[in-house]
Amino acid sequence: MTTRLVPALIAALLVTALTASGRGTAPAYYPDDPLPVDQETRDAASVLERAISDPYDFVENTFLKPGDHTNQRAVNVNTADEVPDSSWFTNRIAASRLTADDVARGPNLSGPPAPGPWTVVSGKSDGITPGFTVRDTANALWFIKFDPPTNPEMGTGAEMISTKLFWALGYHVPENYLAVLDPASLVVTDTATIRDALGKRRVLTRADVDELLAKGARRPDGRFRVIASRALPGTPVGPFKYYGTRPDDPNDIFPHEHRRELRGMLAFSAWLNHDDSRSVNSLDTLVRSGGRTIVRHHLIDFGSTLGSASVSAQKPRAGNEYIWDARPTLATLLSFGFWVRPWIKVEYPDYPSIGNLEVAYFWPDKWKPEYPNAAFRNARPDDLFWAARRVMAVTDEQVRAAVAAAEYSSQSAADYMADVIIARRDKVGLQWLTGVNPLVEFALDAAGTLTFTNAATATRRASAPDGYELVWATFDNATGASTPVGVPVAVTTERAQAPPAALRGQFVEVAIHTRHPRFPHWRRPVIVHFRRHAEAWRLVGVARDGLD
Amino acid sequence: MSRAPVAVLAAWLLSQAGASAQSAPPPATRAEALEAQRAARELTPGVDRQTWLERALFFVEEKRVFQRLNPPEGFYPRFGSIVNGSGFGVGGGYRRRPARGRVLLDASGAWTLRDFRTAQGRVALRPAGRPVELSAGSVWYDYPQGVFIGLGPASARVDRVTYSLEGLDTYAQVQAQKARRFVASGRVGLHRMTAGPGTDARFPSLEDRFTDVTAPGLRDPLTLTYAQASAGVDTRDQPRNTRGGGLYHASLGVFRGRNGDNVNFNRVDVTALQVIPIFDKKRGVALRATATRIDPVGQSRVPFFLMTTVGGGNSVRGFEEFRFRDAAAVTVNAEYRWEAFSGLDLALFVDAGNVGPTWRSIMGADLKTSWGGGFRFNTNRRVMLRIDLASGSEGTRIWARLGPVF
Repeated sequence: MTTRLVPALIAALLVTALTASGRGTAPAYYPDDPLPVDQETRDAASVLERAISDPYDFVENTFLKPGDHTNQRAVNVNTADEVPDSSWFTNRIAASRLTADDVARGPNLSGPPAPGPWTVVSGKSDGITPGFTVRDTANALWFIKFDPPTNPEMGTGAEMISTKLFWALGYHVPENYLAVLDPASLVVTDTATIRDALGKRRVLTRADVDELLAKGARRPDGRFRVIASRALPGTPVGPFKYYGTRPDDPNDIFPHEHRRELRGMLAFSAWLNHDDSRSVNSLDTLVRSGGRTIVRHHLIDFGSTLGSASVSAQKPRAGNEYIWDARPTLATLLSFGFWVRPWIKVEYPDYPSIGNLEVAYFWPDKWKPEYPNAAFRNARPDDLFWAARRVMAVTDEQVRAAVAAAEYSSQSAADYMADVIIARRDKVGLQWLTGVNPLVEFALDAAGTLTFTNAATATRRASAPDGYELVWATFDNATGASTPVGVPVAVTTERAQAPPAALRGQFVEVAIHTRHPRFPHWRRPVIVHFRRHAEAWRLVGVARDGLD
Repeated sequence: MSRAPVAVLAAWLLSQAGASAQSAPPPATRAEALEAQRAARELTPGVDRQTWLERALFFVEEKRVFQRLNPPEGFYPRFGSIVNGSGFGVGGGYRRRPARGRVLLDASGAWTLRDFRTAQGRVALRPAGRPVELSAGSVWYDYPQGVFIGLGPASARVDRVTYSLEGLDTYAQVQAQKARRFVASGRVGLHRMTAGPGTDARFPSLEDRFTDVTAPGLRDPLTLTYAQASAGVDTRDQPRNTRGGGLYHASLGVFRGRNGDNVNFNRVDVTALQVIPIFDKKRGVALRATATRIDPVGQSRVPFFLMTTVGGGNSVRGFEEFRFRDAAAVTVNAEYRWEAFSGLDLALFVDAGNVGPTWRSIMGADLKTSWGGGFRFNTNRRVMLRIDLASGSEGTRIWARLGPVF
């Protein structure tokens, strides 16, 4: 038997097994739908560390278009069209009432570095951002990053704000703290190492420390404002990819390019100008959970977000064009350079601590990361609608709390940053809350009164629609067949009464079309299912039709 | 037992369990359904496999291949030409930077496909806190296939011959830079050289077609002492991929023959270069003018191989390398450059230039001209590869060079 035959045979046998064991007879809704938590039930202790080549990641995603690009609904959403909590994502901003203080605290539960000197473990001379790995007096491991001398407070500020907002949006992120580094308090021992220009590891010296510090923005008092990023809990096993699955992780059953929280991350990245949203800025770790080892997936390194490109202000291209973008390249080439990319004309305010960030030219659906991302490429209107709801759920107060955590020395810079983030948030809402029929928060009470919310109008991203048209039906959970009841009903409010005949079964279906002159695609219905639960009705299914 | 048969067996057992129990209850919950998928996946664990391209790029990254091409210390390779017209060559070198990097010790050698060879050694000292570099060194070279097509602007291509030039140049030099704009240097040296028959089998050797009158310096071993001084203003933003700024530079050299050699002359070189960005640095016009003049002292003669030339990949690109040769030369280049994307610039250019016994003679004559276009594969800071296609009155030429034209 050849090596290639083995996986083929296994796959065939498993398909047989799965089909025979009941997939064909599965009901539309299980009793535990919609699933709020996707539990990782298998032990993943055997997952091996892997690395991803930065240049290959660029080449592969730019020219090879990896992953499956079938137009299909995100595969990890529950029947209510939401993302369950998992090792990838935790519903925070939309699921609970986060306070501004919650956002300001973000993931920081363990506290900043312990007082006292830091012992240097290693230096980082290569890569984009120079820095150190240190241990504090409590023996905790920290990664230290600086601002570039040209832009004090810029990289550290962007890192602080984006860490807190990505945490609020639901991702696993490191605990990042603003700290002050006094060069005199750095302890350099014989065990500290650094890689030389040829990658050879050698003992780190005080001269190396001085050389690395020379690349950072020094404050007038001779000290450095730095980001202290606590080492993530667990054993690092390398980055995740935005497509496929991790072959040795038994819990990783959903192709990443079809995970909603990765597709929807396009909206979050556009909002916060996270142009570096690629594999190398992620990290998987093995952690203990529920008595077993699982892989937890993190986003790391937000130094290239907002107006910062870590070691300089963000390039105007960032967010506007891929590193390799055939169409504008061809246009420039053929026009002998006389066609000027419009983003070149964008003017940025002169805040060194902010870098290059603006809102006037920004338009979410035109935004691009450094190079294509397989999950972003698959993002559909329903994914981006899901994401936009979370973006819009972040209040002005929460934005200002996140910005305050950056501790900008200039209040006008801080105000500008907050204002721009808020204005970009509103543009994200305007773009993607209106991309599908934007009805949410469905409820059917015992008396058969249906209520729902128009997410676009509720956030003032759209005017009130002309009205809604509802088609009621009974629903057979075993077969998935629905049987219309009565005639379509038109209402002008977000409230309607179900016909008694629709309420006689265990399930009820209602398809809601929205009539709005500016958004004709809102006529595509949202199909909602409720299941009888004691004397009440519980929402079990939400599907936005017409996207496949 | 290896893992694969176990997995096949387990999958078979699972399939049999499913197939033999069509009536077996399906998952009762969504959680159970997902658990079944995970259980099935666990039976067929995979391995994260890298493609050959990923492995190759990993190798380049991990082994710091590009850094090893030009390491700050240790052994390093040399690629590319030795001088214009030498052809592609390879070689190696070794450098050390003792005294906390203030001293550079460097020795290297190279050999090209056309059998050009060179070896050199250099010691440089950069005093702490001073924008000055003192250096001394020696360069030995052997160029067996030099190009000579006669003197003056009317030389005929059919007269092309080959000659060899072997020499040893020993020098001491000081370079200084102030405020990152003002540059100055001085150099003194002793240069011994000998011209002889060439080895390029495609052409006759120089002595078969030219005499000591029409090609002064042939077969005469020559030893020169020289002193050169130069100064200029350099406002280029990036010397190896200039997108703005200019370079204005002048150099004066005094060359004197030793051992009774009647070879005494002075040399003046002037360069003016300006890159004018249009709207932003994504496009711009680059202009360069160079002028060189060699003035014999008294009745001295200047060997043909020390005269200045026009033509080639860095000069008037529609003409072959060293096409025109005389005591004075002028070239003017104008390029319109624009960025297609961050790794590629394109250029349209026109070149003009000529040679003559004096600058005045050139000004009154027709200039040799060429035009063309090119690609510049670059990083933000340097042009890695330049490919130019140029057309002139003697045909069309393609130039591929590792670096900018100017």
